[in-house]
Amino acid sequence: MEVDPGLAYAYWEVTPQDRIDVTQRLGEGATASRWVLRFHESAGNAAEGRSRGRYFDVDVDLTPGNWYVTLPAGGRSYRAELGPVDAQGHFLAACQSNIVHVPRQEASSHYAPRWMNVRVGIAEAESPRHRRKVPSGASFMHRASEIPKAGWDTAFDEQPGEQWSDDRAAWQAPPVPMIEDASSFEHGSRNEASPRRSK
Amino acid sequence: MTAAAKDPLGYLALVLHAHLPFVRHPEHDDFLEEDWLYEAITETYIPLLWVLEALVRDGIEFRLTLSLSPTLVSMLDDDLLRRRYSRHLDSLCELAAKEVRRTRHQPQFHDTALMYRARFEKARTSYHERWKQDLAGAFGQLRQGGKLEIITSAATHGYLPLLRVNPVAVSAQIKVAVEYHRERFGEPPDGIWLPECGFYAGLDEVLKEAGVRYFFLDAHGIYHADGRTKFGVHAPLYCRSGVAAFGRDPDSAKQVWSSKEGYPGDYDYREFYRDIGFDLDAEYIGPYIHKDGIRVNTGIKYYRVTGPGDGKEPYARERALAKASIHARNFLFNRERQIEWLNGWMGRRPIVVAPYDAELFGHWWFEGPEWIDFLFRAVAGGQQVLRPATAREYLSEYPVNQEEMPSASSWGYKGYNEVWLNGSNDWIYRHVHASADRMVELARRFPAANGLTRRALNQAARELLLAQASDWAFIMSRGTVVEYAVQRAREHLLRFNDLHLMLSEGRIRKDLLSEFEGKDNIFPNIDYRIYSDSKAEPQRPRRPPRGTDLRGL
Repeated sequence: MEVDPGLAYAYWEVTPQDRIDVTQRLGEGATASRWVLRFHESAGNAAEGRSRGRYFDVDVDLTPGNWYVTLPAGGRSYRAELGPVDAQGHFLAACQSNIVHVPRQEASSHYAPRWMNVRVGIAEAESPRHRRKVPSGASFMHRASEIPKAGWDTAFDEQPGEQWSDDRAAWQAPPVPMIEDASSFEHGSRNEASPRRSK
Repeated sequence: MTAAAKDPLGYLALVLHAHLPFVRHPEHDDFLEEDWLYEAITETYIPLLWVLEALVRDGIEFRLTLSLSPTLVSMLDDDLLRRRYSRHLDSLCELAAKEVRRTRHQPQFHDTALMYRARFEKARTSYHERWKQDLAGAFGQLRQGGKLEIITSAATHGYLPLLRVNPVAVSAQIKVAVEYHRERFGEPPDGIWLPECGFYAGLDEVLKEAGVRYFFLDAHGIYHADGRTKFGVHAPLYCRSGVAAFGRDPDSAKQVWSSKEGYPGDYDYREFYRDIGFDLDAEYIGPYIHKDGIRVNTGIKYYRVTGPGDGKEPYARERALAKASIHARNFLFNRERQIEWLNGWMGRRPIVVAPYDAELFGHWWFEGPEWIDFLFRAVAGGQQVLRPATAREYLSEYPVNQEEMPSASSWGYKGYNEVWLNGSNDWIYRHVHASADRMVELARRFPAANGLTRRALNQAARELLLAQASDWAFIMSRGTVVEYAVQRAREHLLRFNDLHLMLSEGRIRKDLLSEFEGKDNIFPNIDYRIYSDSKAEPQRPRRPPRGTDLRGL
């Protein structure tokens, strides 16, 4: 599980017998082996979890059953394997983790906005501007395979319309604030304001 | 004047998230942690209802989004807790009357004592006579006219990013919440307050399946989206699924939340930490604190913040209310300037989303509800820059928005998962995850149970949901009532395991089942088959469940 963009937490269940069985399968190098968490950077489909070929090892002590691992970078996905590695670098996975998607720690440099029109099939929706019933949205392109359940219509507006220009030169958005230290003001729920803190 | 701006430059969406963990102990006559509910009712929910009803009565145009978590609604509706709250309120009124007598020769405190006596007696009258003890229903009534929108949160406020190794478990948290909301309020919620704003890519698909249209995120969830956003937090993003994400506005958050600069720290406001439950003689205050002599907050406090040190001056109510009025107008002024500037370059009306914990208002910041009242009256007082709105209304006016996947994030300390996953609480997750896997297996094994088996399965679902509550991990992380939080997490996991064992062995102990049902009676109409979705496989590699391996418990 990811703690934040730079830290992950792993837990495992490896019985003493598991440890013996797996280590023995290493063969001659078993006696000099050490157990590691091998983190593979995952690519593409989360279910498939194909490795990009990049990995790093973290030596672990099996006894606690869990470990915190410093990650090299956010904005990536990882899958971990736990197992022994011998002195020659031969590794044998005893078990494999789920894929963890670690959030990025800064704004993306990619800007190519796409615009979506979500039409709600509920005529009671009111515009705050006019405080009157607003009819369902105008015609727009559908992706036939994505027509959702009743009450929802979504489509991508391939031609977003004049009011939202994709011209980057026209984009006058403020710079993305750097959230370097969220504690500079108290985020959300519980730093001071919770009755659960009163006891 | 009470009219809203006719052609505003932008919108202000005030959002309050009301939540308490499910705390109900029928096995004890007087349980300390139940006081959280009673304090919140007296100091937040009742004053908020007074404010909202007065605004409606006076024809003030306003909009408020209120998230009522299912656990909170369950407790507000519970007969045992209603009786206990009534007892608590009677005790408060009695204490307040004694305080009026005690302070009659202390003019610096006497007016404040009179204020409390009047306030508690009004609360008692409102609670019994006006609302018939039905506070959730009272909020529900205020939805007429569209001024109040009530949304939900996850079933037991489970911190979803750390439960997602089993997608069915996440789906169950959402489905139970949506169904419970529909049962209670007569319609499904349009929006949801994700617990702690905890989001990850893919959660939007779960929300969409449940019919939820929008949710809220902290600002960096929007700013760190997969692609750069055109409007930042001042317009929603659509996820690929079409569910909208609204981002918290940092400027308005800071003005209220900041412990250094926020309004609640003003020197004229009531000081939270000088309560007569701690200040007065034990013999006098004894009947009004815990029966074992444990000193607790009574809600009667006589001092104002005054300054950073220990020296505190007497509280002056009129001065505090005057300050609240100033702060409300200051907040409005800042939002007006902000919206004027945003409108100047956005080319559309911005929305400024200002979400807060509901309990901040009234409980921690005593004058908070009045600040809300002053704010909405000021907004309706003739300015033409902004208008209050809900997320639903904004989406109606602007159905076309940028499509981008927000970043995984939370509004907890440091912005991610650390509060709920650190050395103090990480031990919970192997058990919670394993229990979720077992629940999915149970649902598959018993596709159409009835009788005692069905009862046991439904109760297993309740115990799992209660074990998943983010509150336990939060409390452990904050180091407050850690022993209680650990006990709660363990109890629900152990009860789940007991039920799992009974179901696996085909021998259900009716006495034990009834005991669990009596204590953990949340979601009476739950259907365990919410865990029988065969399409969603757990992400973790499948291993045979290890019987009763409760290492760490």
